[in-house]
Amino acid sequence: MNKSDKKASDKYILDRSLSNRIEVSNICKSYTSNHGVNTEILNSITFEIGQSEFVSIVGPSGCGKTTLLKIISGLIKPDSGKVTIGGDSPLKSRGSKSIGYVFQDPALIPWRTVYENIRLPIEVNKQADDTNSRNIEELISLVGLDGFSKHYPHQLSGGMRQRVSLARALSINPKLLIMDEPFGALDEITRESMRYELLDLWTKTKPTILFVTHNSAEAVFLSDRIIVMPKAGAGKTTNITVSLERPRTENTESEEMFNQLINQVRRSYKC
Amino acid sequence: MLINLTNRIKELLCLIAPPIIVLLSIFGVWEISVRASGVEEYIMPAPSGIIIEIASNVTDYSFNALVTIGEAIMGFILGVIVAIIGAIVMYQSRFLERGLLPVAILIKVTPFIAIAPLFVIWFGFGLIPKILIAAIITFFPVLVNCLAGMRATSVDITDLLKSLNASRSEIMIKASIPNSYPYLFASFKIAIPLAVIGAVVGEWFSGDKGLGSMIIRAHNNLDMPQLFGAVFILSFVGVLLTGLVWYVEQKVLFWHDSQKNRETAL
Repeated sequence: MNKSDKKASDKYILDRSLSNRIEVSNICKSYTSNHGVNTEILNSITFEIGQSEFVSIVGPSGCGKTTLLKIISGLIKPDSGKVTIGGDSPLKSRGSKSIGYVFQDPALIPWRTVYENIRLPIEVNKQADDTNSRNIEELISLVGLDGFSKHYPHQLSGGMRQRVSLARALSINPKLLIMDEPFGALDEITRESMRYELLDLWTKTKPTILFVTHNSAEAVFLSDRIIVMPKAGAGKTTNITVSLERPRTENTESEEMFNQLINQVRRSYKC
Repeated sequence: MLINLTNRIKELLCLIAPPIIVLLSIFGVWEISVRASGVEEYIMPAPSGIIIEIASNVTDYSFNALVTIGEAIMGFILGVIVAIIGAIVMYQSRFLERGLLPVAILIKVTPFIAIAPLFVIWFGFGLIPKILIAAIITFFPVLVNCLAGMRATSVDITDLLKSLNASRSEIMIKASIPNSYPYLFASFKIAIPLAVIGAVVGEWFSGDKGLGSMIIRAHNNLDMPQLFGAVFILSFVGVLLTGLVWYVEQKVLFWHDSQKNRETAL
C-alpha cells in the first residue's frame, strides 16, 4: 500500500464513523419495452434518510420500489438524479461493501451451511476493507440461531432462513441495510415475531434501514418515518413521521395513534 | 439397533427385489422358449449357455471389460472437462454463445460412427481414437446442461453478490458453477452409457482389445455364446457406471431438492 492509498483509507474510515446519511435527489428512471413503448417508473424521486434512521417505503405495487432500491444499491443506473450514501456514490459504496441487502426470498446458497452463508459477503471482493465485518458466531446468536451454524438451509424453517439472510446482510456491518419486503413470504405469526427481532437487532447494531413493505401496520410499527411512493411515474412522495415511542411493544399496537397512522398511510397511497 | 438393522435390510430388499424378479422372469421365458423351439445355438443361445460361456472365460471377459471401461471413462472425463470449459467460456457472453454453440451442435449432429474410421487413420490403432470418440459423445449433453445450470442461478443471489462488488469470477465460483451441479449430474447419467457405446464403436474399427473387438471376433466366427457374453458384460458395465454416477450424485447433491424425497419414495 503506498502513502496516498493509506491516506484515502483513513479518510474513508473517518467518513464511515461520521455519517451514514442517505440522500436521494431527483431520481428519474424509465424503461422502453420491446414494442418501443416508454414507461416512466420513477419521476423525480427525492428524499433523505438520517443516520441510523429506520425508514419504510410503501406504495402501490408496480410503483417502482424495487427499481428504486436497485438504483440506491448501484445495481442499475438512473436516467438522471443522484444518490449518495454517507457521501459516497452507490458504486463506491458497492466497492467498500457498505450495503446490506435482504430480499423477500431468503436467497440462501443451498450447498452452504448457515455459517458459510453468513460469511459469503466477507469472502468476496477482497479489495474492500473488512476490518468492520462482524464475528459470525456472534451474529448467529444475535439472530437467535445458536446451535444451527452447521445446518443447511433445507433443514431450516422459513423464518429461520430469513434470519440467516438478515445475519448475512449484517456480516459486513453495512452503513445501509436495504430490505425488500423481507417478511412478505412468512406466515402471520412468524412475521410478527420477526418485527420484534428486527427492531432488537437494529437497536443493537444501528444501521440505517430502508425497508420496503406492502403492509401499512408493519411500516408504522417499525419505522421512524414512512415514505409513501406515488403511482408509477406520477407526482411526489409523501412523508409521514411516526412519533410512537420506542421501544415498540405489544402495547404500541393498541395505542390510538398507531391506528391513526395506519389510516393516514392508507389514505395517502390511494390518492 | 437390531430393529434398525432389519429395517435397513427390508428397505434394501424393497429396492432391489422388483428389478431382480422382472429380470429373472425375462431370462426364464427366454430359456424355456429356446429349449422348447430347439433353435440352434449359433442362432440364439439360451441364457444358461451364455452364463456358462462367461464363467469358463472369466479372465478373458474381465480383461476386455476393463479395457473398454478404461477407454469409456477416460473419454468421458476428457469430454466433461472440455464441455465445462466450453460452458464457462460461453457463459461469459451471449456473443460467444451464439458463435460457439453452432459448432457444438455441428459436432453433435455429425454421426460419430461416420467419423470413427477417420479417427483410426489419424490416430492409429491404440487407445486414442476410442477415447476421442467417447469424449465427443459425452461433450454435447454435458456442455448444454452445464450452461443451462449456470444460467439458472438465482437472480437474487447474483444481485446480492453484485451489490458487494463481487467480481465475475467470484460470482461464478461461489454461485453459478455449483448451481450447475444438479444439471451436470443429469447429463452425466445420459453421457456415461454413451461413452461406453463410443468406446465399443471405436473398438469395432480398430484394435484387438476390449469388448467391442470381442463382439467383432465372435461375429466373424459365428460364436453366438461369446457374442452374447460380451453384450451381457457390456450391459453390466453400463449399469455399473450409471450406478456409480447415481451414488456420487447422492453424496454431492445432498442439498438439492431431487435428493430430499428419497426417504418418502421408498
